[in-house]
Amino acid sequence: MRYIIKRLVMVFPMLIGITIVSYTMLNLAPGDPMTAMMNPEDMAMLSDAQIEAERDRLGLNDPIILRYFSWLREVAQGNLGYSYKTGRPVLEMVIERIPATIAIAATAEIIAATVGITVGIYSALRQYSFFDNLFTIFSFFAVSVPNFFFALMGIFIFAVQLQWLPVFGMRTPGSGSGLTWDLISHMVLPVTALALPHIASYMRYARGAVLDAKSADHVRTARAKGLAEKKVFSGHVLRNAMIPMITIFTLSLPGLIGGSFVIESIFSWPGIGLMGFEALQNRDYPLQLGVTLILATLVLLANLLSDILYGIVDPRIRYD
Amino acid sequence: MSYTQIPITRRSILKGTVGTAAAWSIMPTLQAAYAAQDSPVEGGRFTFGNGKPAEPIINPNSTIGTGQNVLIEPLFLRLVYPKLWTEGMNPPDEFELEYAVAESMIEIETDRVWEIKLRENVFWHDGEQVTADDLIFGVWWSLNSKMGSFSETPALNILGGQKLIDEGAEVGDIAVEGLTKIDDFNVRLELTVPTANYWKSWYVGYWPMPVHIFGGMPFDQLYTGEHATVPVGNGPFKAVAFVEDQYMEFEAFDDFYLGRPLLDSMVVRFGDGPTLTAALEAQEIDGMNVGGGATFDRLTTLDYLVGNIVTTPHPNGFVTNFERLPDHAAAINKAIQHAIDVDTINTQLFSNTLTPGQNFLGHMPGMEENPEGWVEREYNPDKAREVLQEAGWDANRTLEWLIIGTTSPLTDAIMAMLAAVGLKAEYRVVDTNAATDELYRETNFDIVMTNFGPYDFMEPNWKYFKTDWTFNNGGFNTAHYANADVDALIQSGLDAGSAEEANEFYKQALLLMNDNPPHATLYRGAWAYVWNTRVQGAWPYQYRQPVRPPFERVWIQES
Repeated sequence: MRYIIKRLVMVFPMLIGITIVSYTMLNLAPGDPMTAMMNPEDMAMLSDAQIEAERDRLGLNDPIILRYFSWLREVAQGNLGYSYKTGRPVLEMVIERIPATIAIAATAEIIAATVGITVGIYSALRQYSFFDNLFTIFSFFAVSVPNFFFALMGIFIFAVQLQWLPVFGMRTPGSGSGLTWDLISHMVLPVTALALPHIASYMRYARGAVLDAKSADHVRTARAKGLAEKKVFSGHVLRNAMIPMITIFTLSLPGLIGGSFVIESIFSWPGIGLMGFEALQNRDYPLQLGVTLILATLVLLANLLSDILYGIVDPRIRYD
Repeated sequence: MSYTQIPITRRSILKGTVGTAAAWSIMPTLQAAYAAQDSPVEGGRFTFGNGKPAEPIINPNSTIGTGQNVLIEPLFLRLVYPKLWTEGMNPPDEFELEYAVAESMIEIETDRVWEIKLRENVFWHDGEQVTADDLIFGVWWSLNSKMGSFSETPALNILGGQKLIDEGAEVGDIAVEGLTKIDDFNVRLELTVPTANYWKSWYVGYWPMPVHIFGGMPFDQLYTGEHATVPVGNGPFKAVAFVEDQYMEFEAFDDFYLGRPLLDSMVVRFGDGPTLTAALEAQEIDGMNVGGGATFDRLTTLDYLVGNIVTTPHPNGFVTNFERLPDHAAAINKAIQHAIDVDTINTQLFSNTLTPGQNFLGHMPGMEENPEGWVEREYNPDKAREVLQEAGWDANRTLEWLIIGTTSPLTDAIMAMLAAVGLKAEYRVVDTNAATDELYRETNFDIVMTNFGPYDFMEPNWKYFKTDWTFNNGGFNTAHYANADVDALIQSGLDAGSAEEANEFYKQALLLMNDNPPHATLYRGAWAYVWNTRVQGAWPYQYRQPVRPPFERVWIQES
């Protein structure tokens, strides 16, 4: 418990560090929210006083340090600020978008873990077989190729050529709400594109972990004692092989959410990734910082979760 | 003026170019196909693909670009629209207005004062009647600086308008000096000065707005909440839903003054160019604007898609910075016009859709023809070298070519053509968000490729070349061009009593600019729509023919 508290306390300075870096980099980028939001024709028609008034309203005339600390003060009070573009509270916007991101990220993670680990174990049990070699080739391919490639190929083959799946969006307009076939059909391509590299990772790690465990001393001892192979596998091989899978599982969560920036943009999937990407383009500093803060928090919490679970499944690991 | 980007971007797609010749060469085919369709049927849904609105506000008094305009047009009606134009860039002399909220208009004083009668059968989507109060309120809103809005289509030159722009007005203080209510359906409209071609311009927007909804609303609530994204309009379609980043849904308005639209519903889906292109090919959407070139060519080979080339009046070309190159800028402009093989670019990169031409003011009514004595600079590299040599240009000097966004096959081709005549250039690529600072405010470039506004009036066009009318002074003379003789002629034109008289002055100014060019104008642009053949009544659609896309006439032919 002390360890968990210690780690939780460490999260705050790390988050502050992340936001300082993000804030600085965002402000160093060319242009500002005014130039991003207004087209030049509109801007030319404003007087200097009007432009200054608008910049004042957005707080852009204050020094960057002052702006950062006033933002931080608001964050400490639970207010992530207001979007420059929409004028809405950032927290509200982020909360609105999180379910869409979780829908594809969680589905992708579940599919990746289930398929990847299963196939990895199967490969390890039939080492150097035809299927093992086939899955190995697939996994190297899937790990090496960026997920946007799978996304584009998916659109080309399954949406444009075969017309089995929709190209973009979350729902067909007017198709209703809730979990519908329409929603599922829209999820197939983004989830697949997100999941494929992770399936490959799980496969490789699971295969390696099972092979390591199979050759461990305690497994040999268990076999020598005459334990049935099924029991050896489930009680000694699998249990030990699954320990690294917990790390892979928790550490892949931030990657999935980060990957959603690209995948959501390609599929116009209305999640936090698409919103963050557009906030970057619009120089919508408060929104972008809000998204960064949420994602950074998720990454740090995922790391912490990984450590905690590690300690639970492996009694040998103790944190002081 | 805006910068030039590569053809695959949405903005550049909109600015993408298509030639008049090409347009008219395919138009008979399209019109024949159009004419051969079955009788219109009722029902169905039309799905259009478009870029996301720049802001989640669907209101004619707060517009930043096409993304919003596409959503506004089915929802809101203007007072009048320029009538169907026949051919060419500008309306013919026998131009007629297409009345919408207005039923008729009597000209009391030439080009300055009108009495307008409103239709009594135009209704808001909530059932209220559209009246003179709505018209006055809409104009007041579009001009009132305290409303915190910017309209691309304001009520230009109206009497008292400038005061509203300069000083603003408070909530409830609804009055426009130039609009006098005679009764609920009659108003008198007065401009500050006679303005030729006033009603021909797309940019003159008189949008009645529902005063019963917004009239007493605090300014900070005008663009928030449901009325911002699902507004009550008076057009052929009612807003049903707006899902940010996804789509906007409309349904037919039963009480539309021209009768219920044929379609049951209409959807505009938001996406980037490549995504929407894939969706069009997958028949997930029914139409979009793809821009001229390879994508248009490929899509229109598919048997279920049809192209619709739409000419636009925007001149495209180079701006050379006179501030940086005071002794050579004019010569460089001439050399560029000789150096660039527009015909080859047209064939190779734009599917023969460009309209070559160097007349900067040809999009103004009455200015379509080059004046007598005008020199059109044909592609001739030797001549370009000669011009540069005469101007004493140092062939070793390298020009800084500002690129907003990314380079493209077009810019690469032009770079090679410029190099071939001794105009060495280097790209300086900046982020699109830096455009306002780098291009307009700081004019931090030697040359930049751009397009210019398609304005029908001289004043907004003058912003591109009037002495000292730079961005910081509310203009677009990023070239820092200064020519007192040109300015004097333009001013004389603006002071002239009639459009014909004014155009004579403008033609003289044009000749001076031909000799000492502020820009290297090269060609005019176009849009390239692609439609699913099941969509009827939407194409052939021409830019400004009419201005308001005839949504109520669109219907779906199910196979």
